[in-house]
Amino acid sequence: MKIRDKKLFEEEKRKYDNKETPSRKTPEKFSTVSSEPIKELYTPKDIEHLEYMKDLGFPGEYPYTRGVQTDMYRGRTWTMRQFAGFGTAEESNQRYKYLLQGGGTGLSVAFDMPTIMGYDSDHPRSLGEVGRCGVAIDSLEDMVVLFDGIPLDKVSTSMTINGPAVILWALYIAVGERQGISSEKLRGTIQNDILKEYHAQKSFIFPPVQSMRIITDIMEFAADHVPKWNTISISGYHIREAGSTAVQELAFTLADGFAYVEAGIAAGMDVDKFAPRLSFFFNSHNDFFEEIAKYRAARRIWARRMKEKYGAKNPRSWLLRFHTQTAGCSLTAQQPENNIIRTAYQALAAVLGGTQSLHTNSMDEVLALPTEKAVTIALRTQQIIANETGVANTIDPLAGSYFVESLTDTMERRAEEYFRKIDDSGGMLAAIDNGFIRREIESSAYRYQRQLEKKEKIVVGVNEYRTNDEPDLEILKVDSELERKQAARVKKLREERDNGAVRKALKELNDAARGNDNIVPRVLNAVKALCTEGEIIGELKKVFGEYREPAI
Amino acid sequence: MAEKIIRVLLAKPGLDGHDRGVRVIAKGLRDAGMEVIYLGLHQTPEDIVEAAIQEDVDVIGLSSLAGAHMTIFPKVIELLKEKNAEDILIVGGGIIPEDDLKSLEDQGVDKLFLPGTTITEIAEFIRSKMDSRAA
Amino acid sequence: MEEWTFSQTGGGVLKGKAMNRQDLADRFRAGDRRAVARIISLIEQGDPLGTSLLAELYDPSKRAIRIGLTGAPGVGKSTLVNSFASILEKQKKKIGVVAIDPSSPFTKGAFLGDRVRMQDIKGTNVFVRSMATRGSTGGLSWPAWLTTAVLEAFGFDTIVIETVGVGQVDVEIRELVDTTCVVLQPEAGDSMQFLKAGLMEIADIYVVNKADKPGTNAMVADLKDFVKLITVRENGWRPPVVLTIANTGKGLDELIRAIDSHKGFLEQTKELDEKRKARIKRQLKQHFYEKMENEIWRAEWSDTLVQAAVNRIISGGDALKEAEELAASLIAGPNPV
Repeated sequence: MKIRDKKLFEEEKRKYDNKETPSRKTPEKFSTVSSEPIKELYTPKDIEHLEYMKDLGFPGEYPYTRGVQTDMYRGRTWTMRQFAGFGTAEESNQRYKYLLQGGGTGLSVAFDMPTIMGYDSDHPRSLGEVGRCGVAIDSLEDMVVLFDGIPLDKVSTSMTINGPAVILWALYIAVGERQGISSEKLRGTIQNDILKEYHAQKSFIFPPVQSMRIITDIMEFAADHVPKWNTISISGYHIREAGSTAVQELAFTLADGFAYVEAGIAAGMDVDKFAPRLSFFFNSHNDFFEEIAKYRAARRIWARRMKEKYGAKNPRSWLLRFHTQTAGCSLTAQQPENNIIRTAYQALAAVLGGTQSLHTNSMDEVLALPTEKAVTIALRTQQIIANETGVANTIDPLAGSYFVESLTDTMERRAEEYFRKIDDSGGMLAAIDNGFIRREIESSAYRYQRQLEKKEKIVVGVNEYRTNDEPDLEILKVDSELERKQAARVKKLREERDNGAVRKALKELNDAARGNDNIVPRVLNAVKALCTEGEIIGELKKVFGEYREPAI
Repeated sequence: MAEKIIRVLLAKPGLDGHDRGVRVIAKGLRDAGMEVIYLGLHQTPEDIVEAAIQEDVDVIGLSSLAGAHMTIFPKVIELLKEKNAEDILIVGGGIIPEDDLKSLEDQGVDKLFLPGTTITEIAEFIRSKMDSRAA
Repeated sequence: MEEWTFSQTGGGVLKGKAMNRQDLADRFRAGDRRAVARIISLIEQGDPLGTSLLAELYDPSKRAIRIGLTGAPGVGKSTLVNSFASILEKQKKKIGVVAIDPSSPFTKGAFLGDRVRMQDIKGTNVFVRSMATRGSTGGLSWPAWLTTAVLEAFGFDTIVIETVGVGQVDVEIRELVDTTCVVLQPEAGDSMQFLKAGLMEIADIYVVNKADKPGTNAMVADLKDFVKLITVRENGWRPPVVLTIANTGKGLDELIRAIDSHKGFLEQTKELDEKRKARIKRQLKQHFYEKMENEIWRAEWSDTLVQAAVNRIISGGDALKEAEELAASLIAGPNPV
């Protein structure tokens, strides 16, 4: 945009810069949800340093600020991927079939806490948690049931699993084999992002160094045998849920990504062999423009670093592809129907930010597992955005906005500051060890809580606009019989299987873990020999040890 | 005589690691002038009760986000009774469905706080309970 | 003897069935952990019942070895205590742990998180108490002193005190324990950082924890040079340097041997008894100070004298003379003969 009368422009702009408005007195109120200060007005001045081809470029072209595909949603709309799974494998299987029939285009598996932490359903620590927050998987038997009647070459499956990711992935490959589908044809994602567990979600099993070794083994095996699989979904979602700011989510997630890239290179792999299979998973919170700027900045930073710092030659290594989930932590137990509105705005931000797939939360998730009705509304929210709002008709419609471009730039700059701090403390593993990342996230979480208490930030229905009578919401209940049944099932399996084969498979796994051989083929053998998840994790703990949470 | 400072034990029972809430509350109660003994993740009811006794706390606060509350809270209460320590105030927070909430309060949980509760409310609740007991 | 119940202590909060003084003493003698915990609380709240019970329950035949662990935050002290105590527990020892962290000077609140790192010592032979400094200037509060005595009287044979090493607390911890371990960790690129810690003069044993981190070798070499040059204790003890990796338990056996050998040294030089006498003396002194503070300085009659002296100094009186005279009057008491 041209400015003919520069003098007049400067004069008018100065009026804004010097204006005494109420907003100057309460800057907190006009900052983003992450406390990023926002100016009252943005003008061409704020983006005059940007160079279009260098900083934005065309969609599907380096540095991908405007998106990773040349035609974006005109070619194909984003994948509407609803995370689901609960109870037994049979029940989850029913839910998946329902979602696929209803127009869902991908599966997303949630596991229960015992599965996530590597305990079998009959372990004392599993008591009361089997099948509660996701599906309980103990062995290949359960996995076969989970995907019964779902041809694995026809769906793409995302599995939210980290510590024991290698086991669940091996189980999926083994189910494919039973269905007669070769591993080359399998499509999907395992989250497998252990670094954010130490920062945020804290479902860690092994110490960081050993966990990174498992991950490089997975990257290597995938490149050779499961080429269409996304080996790590590098996740900012949980970092944000743990209370980080948008900038911290962006910076720590990308820094984790760089740590995986460095680990892969250090393990002797060519960066272009594994980098194209790395994908990302971000949160979408309430602050509309901040979220959009975050996604745009993420693409630009990743592309620049992958090309310039890590020397990737394959453009697919430069692409930051990402899944988005609307912010669970933004949902309120008060007036839960309002969550539909929050989720819709968050979903819109993710779409305007160019997401490849999207999960919209159900309004009742802050109270319990979602009901079918709530899940349907959440899916319909996405369909309304895709089909009715018209936002998907053109690519990156907010590009060129003084505000959005300026904020994108700020996000990038602030992330770079964090990268420097992490480098200064000796890299990501050192920053985990000395608690830097965790402390940064925790102090943001605490600051936000203080802002809510002081009403510097308003959450409708929580610290303003409260009502006394809360509507009763219908809630999904998990049958407590399920735990007993699932525990009995795994006990029976242990009695009936060939335990000689089990012992042999575990021994071979132990040997591989001690040495330098890739452990994935050994895990695959172990799951096919009907070793349980808990047994495999137990064997690996003998070699790798366990990680303990730090105090502060 | 030195003044009485309220001692609160906070723990995160169960297998999930979502400790944002419990850690924010730990800081908040510290800043509200209480001594917070934080136990960390994956605590069993036995661990919690033994620590509460050694630390001679006034309050036990438990956070539950993954659905294990119906197993863990009643067990903590049972163990406290066994050890003659049922007078320790029990509060909890997290994602707890309405029916469970009522059932747990019937079983002896003093108060359950749902998402959206301010730390000020929690601190005030604890203080008012302490005052009414000391009186 | 007066009948006490907890509801009357003002310490507040009524707990359990109201235990009277006798009940509490009986339960303490019978090994009830709740009674120990409660007596510590009474002491912490400044309730005279606490100190009075401690005096009653004191048994000179019960003697514990006292070990202090001090060092900067994050060096792994709690993890060391965890590994250390779990080894001793397996040897059927009874271990009392006092973990001290700072109170906020503004709110008086505290975050006591040491138990997070002590997940292996949940057996019945270990007792852990987290304490806040509660405004004590030194960092080692007086109730913490008395707590070690309570634990000793209860029959713990090993008492471990964990403190954040800052300033005055360093000297105090030497008085409170038999063996002081200063815990350090390697810092890449700064092997001499221990000199800045201000803890170097007090160690009987140096522990370099996280000894698998880069910079370990350089640090240990510098530390050993430092020990050779400077820190030979007046009694002839030369502090050893022990390497540990607390979260795997590596080096813990060596640390335990070093502690034992320091104990042997103290026994041989009769210093163990000297230390004990010094502790009793210190307790008498503290008691004396508190008595002066509470019964003289804070009394109404003394306040009149103090205010008068202040006024005379302000209007040009000889400050030193006034101070001397005031001290003499205060010592003489409210109704001098």
